[in-house]
Amino acid sequence: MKIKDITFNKKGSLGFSLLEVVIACLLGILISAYIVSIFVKNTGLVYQQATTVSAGLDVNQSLYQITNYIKQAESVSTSYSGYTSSGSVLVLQLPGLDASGNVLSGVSDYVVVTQDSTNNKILRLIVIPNSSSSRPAANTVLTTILKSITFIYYNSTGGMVTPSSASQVSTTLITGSGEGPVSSEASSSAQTTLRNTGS
Amino acid sequence: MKFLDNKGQILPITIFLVGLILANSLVMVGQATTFFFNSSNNIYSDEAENIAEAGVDKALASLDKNPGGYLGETNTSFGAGVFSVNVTNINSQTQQLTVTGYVPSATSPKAKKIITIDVSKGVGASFYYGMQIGNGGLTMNNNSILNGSIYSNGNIYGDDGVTINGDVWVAGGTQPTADQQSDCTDPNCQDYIFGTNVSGNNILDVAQSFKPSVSSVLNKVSLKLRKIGTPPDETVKILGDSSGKPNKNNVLATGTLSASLVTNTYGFIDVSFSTSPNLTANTTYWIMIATSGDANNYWAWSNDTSQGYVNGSPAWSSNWSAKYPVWTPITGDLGFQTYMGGVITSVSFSSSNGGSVITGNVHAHTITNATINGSAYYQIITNSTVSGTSYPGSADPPPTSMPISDANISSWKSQAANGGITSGNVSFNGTNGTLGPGEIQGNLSLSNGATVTVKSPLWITGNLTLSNSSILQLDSSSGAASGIIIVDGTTSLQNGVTLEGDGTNGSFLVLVSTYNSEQNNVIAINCGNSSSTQVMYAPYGIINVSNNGNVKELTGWEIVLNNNVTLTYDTGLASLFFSSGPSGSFALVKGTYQIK
Repeated sequence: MKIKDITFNKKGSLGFSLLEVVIACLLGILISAYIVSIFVKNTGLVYQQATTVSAGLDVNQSLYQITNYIKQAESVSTSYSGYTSSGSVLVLQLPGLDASGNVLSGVSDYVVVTQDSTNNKILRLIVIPNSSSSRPAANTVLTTILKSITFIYYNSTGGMVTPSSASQVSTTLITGSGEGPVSSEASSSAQTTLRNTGS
Repeated sequence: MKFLDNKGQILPITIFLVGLILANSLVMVGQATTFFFNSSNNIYSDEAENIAEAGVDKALASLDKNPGGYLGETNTSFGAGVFSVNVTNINSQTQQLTVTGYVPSATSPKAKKIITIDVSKGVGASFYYGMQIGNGGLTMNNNSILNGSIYSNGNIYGDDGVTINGDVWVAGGTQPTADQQSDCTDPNCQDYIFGTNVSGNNILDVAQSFKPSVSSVLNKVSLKLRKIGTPPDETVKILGDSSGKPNKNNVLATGTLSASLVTNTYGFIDVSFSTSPNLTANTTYWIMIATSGDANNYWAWSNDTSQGYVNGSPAWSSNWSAKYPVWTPITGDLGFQTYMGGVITSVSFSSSNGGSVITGNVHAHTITNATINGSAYYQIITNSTVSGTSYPGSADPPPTSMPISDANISSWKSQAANGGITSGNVSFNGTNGTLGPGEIQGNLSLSNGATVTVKSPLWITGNLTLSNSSILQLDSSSGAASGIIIVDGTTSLQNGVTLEGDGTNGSFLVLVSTYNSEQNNVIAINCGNSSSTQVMYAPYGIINVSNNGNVKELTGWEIVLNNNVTLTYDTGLASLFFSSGPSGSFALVKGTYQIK
């Protein structure tokens, strides 16, 4: 039985040389690393943009709802039902509503804006209507990515006052989520006049 | 071909990775698009709401101009959208405005907001503080409680156990008499019209110069004015002098002339400033009123054609703040009074460990024996505890004007007199009845549980006496408006009496005393034990509230709260509305504003 000599030549070679394998591996690693880095960066960008969008959406919507109630409030209450107005809690007194949605004289509803008692990243808007009012009760989550909310109370001439003396309320809301390079934050503020109280 | 025989996995791997990246990108674009549309919707909503607010302002102005004829309007262009106004009559005094704002148009709106609010013709007044006190100051006796804030132009003194759940301001004291003044006597009195075009001249800014006799702070000025139509609040400035003209580059103080305090007949109207400027004796300064001008709503300043004031003269300009303002002299002297300060005021308690406490902030020149949970703004402090921040060297707060002017009271008296005059004393002994609107030229007394319904305004030229659980209540036809009882003599509210509104949220019965205690130290309004009153106003009088009294707001030249009195401020008092009145204009009825 003859054993064919296996010699290295270009024609009819079987397999790769060590050098070819090493070069191919190096190229493969480089290309893979480049592709993976693109993928990772792209994914990171998606997460970052997603948190930015989410934070921005929450800030806009939350602030809009808060300022809407401030405009319709008769006063800022010192406290109601265990909630006390402060730099981070807002208790508003609003006129009650009849069945047609019109103002009901002599009846007051309350709206509270406060952080959740167990999770301070959740901002809640709680509507506590009078038993005679047709305003629906509500306990709405405004955002689940709250970073901070600040209320400052002013009188009609712009001087800072205690909540019960306020005719204007400044609201600053900051939302955001994520950690490290994919974290994002959105903030918005508004100074709103109570239209149903002193000018 | 040989290359087609090549085998490998790179292509599907590449396609897979590219697909992932593409998907991520699409998600990102989608979210960005969502954010864009959401933000756009929020902007449109805000725009629509602001357009509706503009519609409310337009409707008010139209009602004032044409009270019976304005029925609303449709698709009026404003900014990026349009508004429509619908006017509904609620009663003879009150109408409801329903204003809808659309962006960009009513036919294809991207956003729509509806504002409803009631408007009524009358006079508004703002009682911003639980107690507002004149130069006579405040005394709070043992265990009296104030749930609200205080603004006093005089000293505040408290006994042991006093609690003030609010802020305290004690203004720098004002001298009791005017330092400089000018007034006219007939036949030398003339209207000086400004705030409009007069004979082809836009007379918008008018000023009167003066020279103080002492070097001190200027605490307030009073201007003799009346209004034609319904001009808005105007800005008043104290300016230095430059070659005999107001110096626009030397504004020493700025204040506001409240249009609601001015009526269509002349009266001296107080103007307070945000800061009290230091003036030098025998130096010329200017009091200037700056207006924006309106053909139908403007002002008249009382002009002394005999030019009796020798330390100054008046002038007018079309634009005081122009690059080169032109000031034209006016023949005569405009009616004014200046009041200097320099009186040291304080808030003090009987002892530092007597249990008295102020839970809010304190602003006063001198603070003594006080326990303050908030911050303190002062120049001198003694034996006091401040839990918040201390601000030594703070300027004294400026004095504040009373929320109802003498001109307002005169207007209500005229309206009362037009309602009918009753000559002689009137009394109800255990019986019920109705009074007003009208004038009683005599005394009014209620006793033994009498209940009298009052239609506002009611003017009593003599004394008012209520005793033994009597009740004065405002008639229900007032709705959300408040009512007035004016008493020229003294008022005695004895045991268990009640003064109350008509039961509607925001409706109060306000007791106004014109009695002058400054001259004889006699109490203007005396509230007996356990009386329940709402709002008492005595700009020249002493209000004395006896043991266990319960009130909502007090404004007086001097106020004394006796043992165990509780005053709880009602925030609705920040925007009282009195229906009708000869110089009333349409105003928004607070508490009826809604966004839908």
